Amino acid sequence: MMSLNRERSSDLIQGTLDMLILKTLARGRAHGYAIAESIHQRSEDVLRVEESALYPALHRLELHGLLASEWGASENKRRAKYYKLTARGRKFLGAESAHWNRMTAAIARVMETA
Amino acid sequence: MNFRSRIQSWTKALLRRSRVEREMDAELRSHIVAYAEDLARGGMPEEEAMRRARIEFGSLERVKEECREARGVHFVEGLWQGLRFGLRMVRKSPGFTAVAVLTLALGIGANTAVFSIVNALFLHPAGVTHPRQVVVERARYLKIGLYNIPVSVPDFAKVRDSRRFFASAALEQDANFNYTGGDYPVDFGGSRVSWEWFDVFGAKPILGRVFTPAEDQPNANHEVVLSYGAWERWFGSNPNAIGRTIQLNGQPYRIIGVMGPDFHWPHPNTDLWTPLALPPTQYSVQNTFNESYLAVARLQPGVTFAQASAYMAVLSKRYANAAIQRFAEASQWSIFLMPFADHVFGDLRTPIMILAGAVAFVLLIACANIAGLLLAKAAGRSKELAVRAALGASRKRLIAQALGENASLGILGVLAGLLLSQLGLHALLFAEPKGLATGMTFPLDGYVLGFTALAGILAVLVFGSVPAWHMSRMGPYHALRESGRSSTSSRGRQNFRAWLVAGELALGLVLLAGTGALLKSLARIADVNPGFDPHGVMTAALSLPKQQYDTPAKQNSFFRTVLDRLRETPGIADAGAGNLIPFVGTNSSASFEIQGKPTPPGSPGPHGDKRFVTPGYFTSFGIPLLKGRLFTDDDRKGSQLVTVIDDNLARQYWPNQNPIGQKIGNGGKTWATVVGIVGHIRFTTLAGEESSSVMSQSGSKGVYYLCIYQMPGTATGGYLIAKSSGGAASAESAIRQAVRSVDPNLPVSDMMPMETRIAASLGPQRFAANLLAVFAGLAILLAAVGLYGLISYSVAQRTNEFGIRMALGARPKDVLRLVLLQGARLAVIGAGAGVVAGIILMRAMHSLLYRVSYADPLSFIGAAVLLMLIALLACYVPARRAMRVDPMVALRYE
Repeated sequence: MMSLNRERSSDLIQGTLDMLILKTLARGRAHGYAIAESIHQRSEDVLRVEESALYPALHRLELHGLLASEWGASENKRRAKYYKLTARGRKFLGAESAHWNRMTAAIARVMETA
Repeated sequence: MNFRSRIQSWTKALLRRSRVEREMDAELRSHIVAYAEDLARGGMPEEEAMRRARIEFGSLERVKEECREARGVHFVEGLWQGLRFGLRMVRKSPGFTAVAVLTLALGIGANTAVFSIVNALFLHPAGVTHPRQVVVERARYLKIGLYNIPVSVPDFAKVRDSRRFFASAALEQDANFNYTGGDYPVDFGGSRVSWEWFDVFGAKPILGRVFTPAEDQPNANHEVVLSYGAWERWFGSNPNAIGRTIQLNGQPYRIIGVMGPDFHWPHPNTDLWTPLALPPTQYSVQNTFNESYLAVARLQPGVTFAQASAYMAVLSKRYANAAIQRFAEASQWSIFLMPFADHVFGDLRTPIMILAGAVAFVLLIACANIAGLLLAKAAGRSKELAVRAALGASRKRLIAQALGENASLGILGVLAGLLLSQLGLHALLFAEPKGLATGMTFPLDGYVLGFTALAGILAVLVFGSVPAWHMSRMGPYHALRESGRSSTSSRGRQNFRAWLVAGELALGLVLLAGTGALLKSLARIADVNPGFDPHGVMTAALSLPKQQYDTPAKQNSFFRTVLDRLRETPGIADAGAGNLIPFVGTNSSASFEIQGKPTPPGSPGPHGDKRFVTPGYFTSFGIPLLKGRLFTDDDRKGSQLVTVIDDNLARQYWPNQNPIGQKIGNGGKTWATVVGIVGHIRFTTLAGEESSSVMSQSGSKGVYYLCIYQMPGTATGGYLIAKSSGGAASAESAIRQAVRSVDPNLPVSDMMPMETRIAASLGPQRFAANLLAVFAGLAILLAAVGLYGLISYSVAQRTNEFGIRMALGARPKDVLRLVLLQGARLAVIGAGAGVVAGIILMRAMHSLLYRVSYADPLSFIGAAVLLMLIALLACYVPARRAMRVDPMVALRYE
């Protein structure tokens, strides 16, 4: 799926790739490479999304109607496939973020008290 | 899960596979290029950047493959691949393919043929649009034992005037028309209909028009609509026939229209329609209980059969006056609706449903056979599959491929099955004697094609799921290990195949036993004594034109002269006539009164079947006289009115009394004196409830006969009966000659030996029993093939073992016994299960059997013995092969 710089992905991380992709696209449309780069940079080089995980995820999200795609010209005037959030995707992201926040806060509390 | 977008994705994948692939490729490449550009921006040389980007990206194909899987197109592609792969396999192993396709074709073909019949009879009768909306109005008197009889004109008026439920309604009465325009007189089977008749069926003429309300009036009714068949046969398909005037029963009729070839209601052989033109007096409430019409109606769009039926209960209770209400309540009278197809083909419904069940069994057996073949084949391929699974092919993909392979078998099987079904139906129509299938066609329409496709898909799923399930249960490790050594194949798989074969044998036994019981029941029915002697009796119908025979004197004179001439003919022992004869599907009954026995309030009063006959009717039919006397030539107009009753009527209304001398009447001033008692005769069926789907009335009721010559207006037509000492056929020309000598222009129709009529009444049962025998044979043949395949396979697998046994001293006989025992064990299990299942099934359907137990020992033992014999035969061939195994060859055979 997605590798942390040192450790292998754990079960907790599974499924969060979808959320990260949706979050990235919440700022506007982007093509696959830009999404991967954006996640990489915004995680301050901690998270690197592999192509073999990214594209299947994009295609799956599109299939489920959370994303829509269109072909457009990139910054360098090359043709690229752009993804953007659909209304359903936006709703799904909202639900997922809330859930994520609850979970991380809970985990953090457990870790502090331990 | 978003089902629609998934389907869209699938279809897109299939239809525009290359485009999707191109887009995916372009997308991934643009990713690499974008990365390379980033690297180049960081100072790397362009070529080096591109190379690095490619290396870091890794295998393009792997990513694509995962994208495909994410999109869900994978499965469909696997199916597609499987289909192509399957077609390749089909070409590579023609033997396997031929057996599998033929097996499936037999199963599908049998089902398609039976469904074609169901479709043509019940679902989409020919020439009727939206047949579900067409109903028949019927009447019943539960207290009198009349459960399903025609209706009266006032009954019809109730429905016709309920436009909220019925879009159109029409009334019909059969009428024969004597056409004298051709070279010789022809009797047209006609139908007098009220003007909305064709609207009810949604039928349009192909030429001209149908009746207007103005033409459906007394004295205006001189238009005729021809059936396609009559137009073709008698008018040379000439479009100019429209507007021509022809002579029917000596009256001019103008041809105004021709119906299409598929419309022929109310009978499969209706030649023409004329307006019914009922005078308004017919609608009088006096006629409420005077039923002699067929009424049909079309439900308003949106009105269901149940709603309309509920409304009929309301209509029934709207009595015209107190007297009608009294009789209706006393006799539990009501009017009700029947689906049109049930009314016309009701007799065939049960036989056809049995056949539908039988062919479902055949298909099931065929599927089990193919599943067995596939299992055997899968054993040979398990290594290949294991290797592919180990190399990373997903289970989904392997299953998809297996399904695709099966689908290609299925497609071939369905096509061959369609062909077989058409051949079979033609053979059926050819073999079926006149009567049952006359005028019927079984078109291969969209419904039949749809059904066949569905049956094919179901069959593929059934036989395909067995090996697929087996395959997926087996891990790659297991398969690799198992196929490492060629010893006996997986125990589980062989066992499973054996269970399938035992199941096939059980189903085969059920069908065999069912056929046996049905044939036995049929033989018992055919043995029933109808109460008269049909041997050597020839019958024929005629109808005297009203214009020519306008007085009772002329009518009586016609019958007297014709019958006298007949009796004078050498070889004719006796002759008679009657308005109705047994086994023509028509009956008639009426209420009567007994003098001196007033009907108590709340009782419907006496009721019986009523026939008008000549004195010779009883003697020609050999109806025994039990007491008193028959009619004589002295019973004529003006002499004392007499009646002959049968023993049923005597028992019912004069229990332990002598009815002779009693007087009966129908409310008038005239009373008929009972002068004789004759034996009861079967009238519409040999066994069971006397009823029929056509204009019949029911009940093994009592009968009273009146003499034609004493009842003015009753000698206008009916049937001539001639008893011949030299067989019925010899009487045919005698009847024709006798009629011709009296009236050369009068056609004679429906000439048929009495024995043929009785046999025809068993038509539906015989038809079902014969077809069931064919299907049972098919089932047992398929099951035998399945058993043969299983034993052959097992013998081939055990060659090594047999070699060792023989090397250790086993004689060929021992090996033979070993193999035969293996088969016999399966046959015993199959037969045992079949007997149990058969008894349960037959018990549920025992009402179809006449004086045969649902657990009829002869049928079941016979079927079991036959099954064992066939099973042993199927095992014997491979067993001989096992016997001839050369130990040396077998041991080296590895």
